[in-house]
Amino acid sequence: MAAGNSTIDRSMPPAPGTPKDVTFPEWFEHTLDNGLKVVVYEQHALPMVAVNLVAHGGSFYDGAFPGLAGMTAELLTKGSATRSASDVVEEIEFLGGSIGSTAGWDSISIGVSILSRHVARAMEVIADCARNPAFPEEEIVRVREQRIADILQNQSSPGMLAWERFNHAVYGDHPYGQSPDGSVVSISALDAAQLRDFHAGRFVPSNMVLLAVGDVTPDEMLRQAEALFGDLPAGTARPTAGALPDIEPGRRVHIVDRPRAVQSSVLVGHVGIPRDHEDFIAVYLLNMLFGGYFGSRLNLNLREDKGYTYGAHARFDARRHAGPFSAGAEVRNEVTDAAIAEMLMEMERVRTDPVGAEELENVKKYVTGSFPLQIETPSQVAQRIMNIELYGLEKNYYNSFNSRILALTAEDIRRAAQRWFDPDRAVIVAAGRGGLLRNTLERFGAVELFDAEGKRIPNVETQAQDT
Amino acid sequence: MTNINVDFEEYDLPNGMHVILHRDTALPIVALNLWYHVGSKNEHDGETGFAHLFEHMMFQGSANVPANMHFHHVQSAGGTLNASTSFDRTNYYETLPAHQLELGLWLESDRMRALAVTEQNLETQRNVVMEERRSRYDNQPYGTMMMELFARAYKMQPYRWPTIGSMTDIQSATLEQVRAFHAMYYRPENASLCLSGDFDRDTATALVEKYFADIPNGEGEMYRPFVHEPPQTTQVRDYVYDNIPLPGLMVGMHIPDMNAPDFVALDLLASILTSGESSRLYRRFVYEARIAQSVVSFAYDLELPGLFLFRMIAQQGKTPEMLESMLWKELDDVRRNGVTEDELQKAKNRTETMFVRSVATLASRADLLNSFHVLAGDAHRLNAHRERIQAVTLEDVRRAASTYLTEHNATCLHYLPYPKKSSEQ
Repeated sequence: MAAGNSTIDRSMPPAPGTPKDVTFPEWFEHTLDNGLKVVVYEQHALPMVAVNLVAHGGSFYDGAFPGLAGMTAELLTKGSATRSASDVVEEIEFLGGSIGSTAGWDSISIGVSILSRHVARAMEVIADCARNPAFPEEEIVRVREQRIADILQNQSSPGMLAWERFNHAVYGDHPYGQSPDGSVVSISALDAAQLRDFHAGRFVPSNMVLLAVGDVTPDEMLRQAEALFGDLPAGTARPTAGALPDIEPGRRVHIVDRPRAVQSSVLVGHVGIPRDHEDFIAVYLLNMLFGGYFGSRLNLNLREDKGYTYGAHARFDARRHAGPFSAGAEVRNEVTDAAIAEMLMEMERVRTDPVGAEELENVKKYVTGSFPLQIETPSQVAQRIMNIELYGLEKNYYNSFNSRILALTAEDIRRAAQRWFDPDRAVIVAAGRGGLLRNTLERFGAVELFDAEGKRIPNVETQAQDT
Repeated sequence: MTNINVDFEEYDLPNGMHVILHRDTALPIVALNLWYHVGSKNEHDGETGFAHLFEHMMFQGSANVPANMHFHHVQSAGGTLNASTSFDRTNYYETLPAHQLELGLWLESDRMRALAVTEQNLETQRNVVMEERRSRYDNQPYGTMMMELFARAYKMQPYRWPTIGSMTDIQSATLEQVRAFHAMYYRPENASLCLSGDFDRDTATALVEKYFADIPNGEGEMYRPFVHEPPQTTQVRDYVYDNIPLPGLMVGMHIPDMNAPDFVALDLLASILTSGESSRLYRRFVYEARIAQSVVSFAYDLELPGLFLFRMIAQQGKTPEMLESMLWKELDDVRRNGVTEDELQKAKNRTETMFVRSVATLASRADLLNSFHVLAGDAHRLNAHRERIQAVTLEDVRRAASTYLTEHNATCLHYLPYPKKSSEQ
């Protein structure tokens, strides 16, 4: 052992060195004559490329058929005019790559991730899938069966049950109130014509972005894009505007009965904020401090102080329109009501008491200091470029992000909390033991009880249950 | 083969702590990754879950860092952090802005030197860990499948209890045990520190020396179980009821430890069987016969002999019996006829891509280097691993299948929904 070291002072944290400036990386953009936007972020550290063809407009446009966008997306890789579903997946997987197609609330996309030496071949496959999807009947049957089994699976997952009930309680019959995975009824009803129609309305060049990140060059990508998509007519996309109907906020207490549950999955919240709103950055910092990281108020209170839960968190699911705000935790049965009371109390507290200088300073340091960690991999960068694309954010959004965070005052946070938190009218959802929860949650408002399939359970049947 | 090497240097401090340095200055970030060679397999029956509960206590205060200030220091420096416990090891990690490297070393060395925890901290963390067990296992559909299988597959090896431990054992953990565990296992000679990212080499070695070199090793011999199961000669099977809508099947066969020569072939075999939608069993079970909703298999890489695991969820109206009988038919085919050259080549290609993905972040590179050092005995095996994979032949795969994936070597668990009682809603 080195004897001379016994004198180091360990009592105080060492002073940091000099920080280096980090800026959000540059990327390349070019729009082809037919309107297809090509975006390339070059990073040659590893010989991998991810290419995504993204069309605006996702599950928000499911209309009366929840699951429409998601199922359309899934079918894109399940066969083209000249390739069977098996051909598609075999061709990409043999090269070690992976292919996937998926819908979000605001977009529908198909993409591959593959070693860069195979990128040309992989792009040809996704172009074929995106341009000539066959929507074969037998593949629709398979996907439908899989999706219905997934829906059944979710009915046994407490987190999913609470989340779906919460959205429905907040948004009702609007697509934001339905699962984007669909229901047994809607999935059973969807047919090839609807999928074909949804695809045709979105996958037109003027509505798409081809985003490539990793070990590629803009020249190479432009050449590929021109060769694979340049001949497509510009086309007209189905309208991708549309508004969220007025949501009447109001306290509702919904319980999803899970007879043998050993914990309750709790969600408390209401309508949140649209992604492109000018308050978004203040709300981001507010939420971080409230329930966005380990050192947040919710987690320190419910986990580290009370030991009610393995973790408590809060989230604004900001989309093109105002997605939900929710605070959540999985807590043991007996403390479910106490945990909900603490969540509501914390929502109220941040609305009334100004945030202390040190707490504000700490959360700002966390948000701004961890910025370089958010752009380490090409896919992290890609996700942020897509946010700029999908939500029409200004191009230097991520470079001005830190300075806008640092400019926020305690009063800004309180003002944001007053505008965007509404504990008195928050919806409260718990998935757990119905009989127990009905009795303990009544203090928050009139309780309605549902089963895992979403059917309302009348009062009388549950009174004697599982006490 | 793609030419990527994770370059590093390594050395030991005089007190035995291992140090690995991997420099990459693309971004001003540094990942600290500290492994202690202790996991739930070092526990005893009746004290299960202790290694993991202890991991929680490492955040509850050390000589100069009060409870919860560890998280606070790292996060307000702009860093992220966590820790995890497995059968074989416990790891602690932070990713920090490069100019905060010294902070990370100060924090990790302080809790290696001296914990300062109280009865009240322990009480809270016992509760948190019991909620963790409920959140991740007991209240999750299919959440206990793995632990139920391990409990039946192993009679002797200390993998027969889960890392999270039993509720009774978690509840009875004492502060005295926490202190003794720290003294026994959290010593420099049982630790490996990897720094990965943007640092100056000489500064880093000096700082590591400054903070870790004077930490003494505890006394007494560390308990390291070296128990091997006797070969299994008859199949084990059982039925478990759970709060689930669709039945499931879990099958485990005994295989050698992660460093044994056959392990790489088993790893590739798992990829051939179930990795991706073009894999053999996905096609048979999910795509063609449509009797399963999902199919997963993997060779569990453990320091003592592990298991080759299959996990399937049945499609609506299908039974675990149907899944099992088809599984045995498929495995019989692999044992007799092996796999095709294309299948093996695809598995090698997929493994190569997965390797590239797995080294995408500084944190994952640091963790892999420590993993190979601690569990495989040599961090250089990270880079050599791909050559071992390329060398696997069709005959290696067939032999591995016929040696290990046999009926008598298997433990089969049928997971069933609770029977519906008419009185239940």
